[in-house]
Amino acid sequence: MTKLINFLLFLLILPSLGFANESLETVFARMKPKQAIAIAYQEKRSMGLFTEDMVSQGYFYSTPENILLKSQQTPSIEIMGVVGNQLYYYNKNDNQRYQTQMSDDLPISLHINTFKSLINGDLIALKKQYSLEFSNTDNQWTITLTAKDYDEEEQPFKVIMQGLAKQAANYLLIIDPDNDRSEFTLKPQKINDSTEKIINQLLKLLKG
Amino acid sequence: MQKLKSSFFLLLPFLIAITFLSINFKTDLSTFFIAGETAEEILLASEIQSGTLSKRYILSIGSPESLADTRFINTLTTIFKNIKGVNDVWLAGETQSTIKTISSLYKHHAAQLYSRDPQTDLAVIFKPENLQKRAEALKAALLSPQSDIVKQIVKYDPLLLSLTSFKNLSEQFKPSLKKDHHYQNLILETDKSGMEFETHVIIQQQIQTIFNQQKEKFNSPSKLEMTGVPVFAVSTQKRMQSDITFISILSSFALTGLFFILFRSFRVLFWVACLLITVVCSAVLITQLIFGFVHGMTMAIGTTLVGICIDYPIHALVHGQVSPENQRVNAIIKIFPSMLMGGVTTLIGYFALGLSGYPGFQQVAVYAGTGILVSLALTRYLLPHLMIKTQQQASCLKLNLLSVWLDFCQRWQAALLSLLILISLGCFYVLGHLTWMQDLQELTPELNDLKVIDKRIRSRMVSMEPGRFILVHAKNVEQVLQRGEQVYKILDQLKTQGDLSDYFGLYPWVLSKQQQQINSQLFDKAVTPAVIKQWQQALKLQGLSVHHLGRLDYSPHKFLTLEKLLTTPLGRLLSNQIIIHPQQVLLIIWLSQHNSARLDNIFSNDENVHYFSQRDMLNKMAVDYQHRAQIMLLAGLGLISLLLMIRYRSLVKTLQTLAPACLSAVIILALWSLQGVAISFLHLVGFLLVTAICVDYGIFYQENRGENIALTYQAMAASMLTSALAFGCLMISQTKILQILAEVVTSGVILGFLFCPIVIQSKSIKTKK
Repeated sequence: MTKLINFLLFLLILPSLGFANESLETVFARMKPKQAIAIAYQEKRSMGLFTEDMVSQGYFYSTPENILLKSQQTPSIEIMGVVGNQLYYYNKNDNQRYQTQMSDDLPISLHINTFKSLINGDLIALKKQYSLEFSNTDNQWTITLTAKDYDEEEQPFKVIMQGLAKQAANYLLIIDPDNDRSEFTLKPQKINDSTEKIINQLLKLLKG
Repeated sequence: MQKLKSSFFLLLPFLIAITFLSINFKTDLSTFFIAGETAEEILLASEIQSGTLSKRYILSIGSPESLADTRFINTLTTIFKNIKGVNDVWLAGETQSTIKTISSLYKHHAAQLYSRDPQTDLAVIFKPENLQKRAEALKAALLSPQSDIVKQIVKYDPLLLSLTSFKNLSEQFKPSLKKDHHYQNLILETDKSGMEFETHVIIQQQIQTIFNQQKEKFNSPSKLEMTGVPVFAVSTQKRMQSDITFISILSSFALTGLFFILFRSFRVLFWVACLLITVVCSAVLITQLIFGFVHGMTMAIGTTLVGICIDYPIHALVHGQVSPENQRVNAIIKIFPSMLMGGVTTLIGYFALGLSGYPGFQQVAVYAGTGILVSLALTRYLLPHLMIKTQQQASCLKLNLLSVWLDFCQRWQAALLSLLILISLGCFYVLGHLTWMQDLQELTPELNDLKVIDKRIRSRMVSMEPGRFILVHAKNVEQVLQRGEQVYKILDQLKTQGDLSDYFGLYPWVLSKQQQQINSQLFDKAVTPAVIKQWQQALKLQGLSVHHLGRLDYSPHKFLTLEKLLTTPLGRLLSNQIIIHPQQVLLIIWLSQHNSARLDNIFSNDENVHYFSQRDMLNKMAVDYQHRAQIMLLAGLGLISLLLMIRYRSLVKTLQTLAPACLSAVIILALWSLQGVAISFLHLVGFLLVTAICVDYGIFYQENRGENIALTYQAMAASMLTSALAFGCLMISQTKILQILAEVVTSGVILGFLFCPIVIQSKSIKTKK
């Protein structure tokens, strides 16, 4: 009997032992993509210059060939993409296209590079620019990234990422220095043959 | 006399040393040829020589087989910035630092710079429906990838007036921007002007070395092409230095060899060489003293001076060595008046050149004038005493062919003269078909490779026509901006009429203080409580914050000055459009495709605004130079004729003396006319020199002071051969300008020499074999 109880206890302990070993590195190792990624998102954007929050939905795509795409479907179709060092933008409403080179001078570069590093599990790149805090409970892990360089008059740029235990991230919160924030609810999608087709179509739309 | 000889040989090394140590050398062809008539042209030329344009390179990097690698380009940009002497490097068409500066700077001046026509524009901006659209656009901007920049601007400029002006600018650039993704172009700006040869040779070498190293590291198939004023300047200087060195060495050896063949005496060769070195050093020092520098072209053309100045010692040697020792000095004194006359007529030729107004030819005139005077003085007062101890010779020169030609001409003079007159008449007829060079750029075909590369690189960039622009001139910055604003209105009208596709002035970057004042006053007046209410309603409709964006308070109003703007990163975009000088300021308004005749016509009566076409300016200069050269030639001929008339008091003798020179010029021009060769002002300059030299032959033959025509003709032959050889050496030059002079003068002096016995009936026809 005692042996059975001990065995059962051991079985009970086993999962918690496993969860207690969850770390920054293991979370990021899980995030490192071996193939293309597709993530459905719902974004809630709160900005001080707006009276209401803005909600949008769409998909993120990332490929091992260094392509990152954000395809907003609602409330309007807008596509943003990073291919290598080039940033592309397309707004279907006014048929506006935009292309520029990513550089440190471009404020959005910070968001994009951070996002890229997160999606690709690039811990080394993130540690260069952010101080990282990792915490976890039985059910969930949280990573908080706080920018190392920031204006003394403002808050540092912050990113908070969360996910269920042993799973990929399902929540992302970006807090700008002026306290504007974007909240993403993320849902990874299955990759199939049509994913590559979709990515190519989006790239075609972006480049015109 | 011994003291004189010793002093001369002792002082000579010092003279050489002083010359080498003090010479200040320049090679910029524009300083040699460009004689701007107006203050603007002079300022523009000096700006090209030493201003912003002269400090910039365009580096085109890429390959037709693959897209430009931006990491490779970024690495190169960073490393190039560390080259010593490089001020900055940036991507052509790069917008990021521009956007940063715009967002930080212009938000404070939105109410000053929003419009050139505020009354019309404000009425449009504050229409209720347009305020709705503006609020909608603001919302879209805040949700766009540029939202971070927009958020910074809207605190001060909620209407985004500053961005609207720049949006128009970017739309203006869109059709002009060539997007060849195979290439990236970098602008590299240096500290020193492109005319600083040594600095730029090193910079160009380093650019190439760094590129090759990084190309290997990145395994890139890209190639590097460079253009810009420094590239042309270094290439020109290298060519000129190579020419001067090569020509000097070649002509020295050739003349030495010829001299030795003619006189067969090392001692004589040594004396004459010392005399000529003295002549050249004196010419260089005097030119340096008067102008502060010696131009490379002066040196190149000046080395031919050796071929002219050697004539006087030759005549002295030929006549002196056949005389007994105790009569040599007198023999030379006897022929000296002919030499002096010859020297004066040659001086007149160069003097006429100096009066042309071309800065370079003024130098050549001083250089040549000094050389001729020093040569005459040394021939008269020093050479005779050097020759005293040498052996008497029956004849210095054994040129049998000369005697044959001389005899032939004497025997058949009448027939030959008739034939020559007939040929000349035929030539005069053919001269009617002479073609004149229209494009001065044809004078620099050696730079064609660079011009092709330049065109290729620029075709990958914006399609503005770099050689055509509107030039606005004023006493100060405020005035030039105000005048520019008036010109923009005219150009806008031309756009609507279809005579101009687009133009690029200084708006929206800056306006005059006067206009900024008007803008802010009218803006404040237009922002009424009703307008504020409408704006706030528009904001509410878009879900935007009235508290943060609804007040429309654009005070305090601060002027944005051009001087301040030039200190920001935007300065490098605008610095090639504004030239600020203590006494005047020039504004350049670039043009896209346009009707040049129409623009030229519109601004023809405006003394402060000109349509400037570099090509047309050069072509106008070609015509102008041609006219000046024609006047110079006629003036030179006229003065020489007058001198000869005074001397001979006989029209026939004067015409006989001039005839060999004039006939050789006519025949050569006729031959070119038949061949379809385009004649330029340089050809006429060459003919001026031919006239000046050939008149000497006429004088010597006419006067025959040695009373031995064969001996006189031998001396002339030696002179002719040295002149032809000296100028002939210019044929190997890489510079077309020097080749033209070589062709004209060499053929001219040979013909002039040959015509003397045909045209001139010498008094004592004593042909001694």
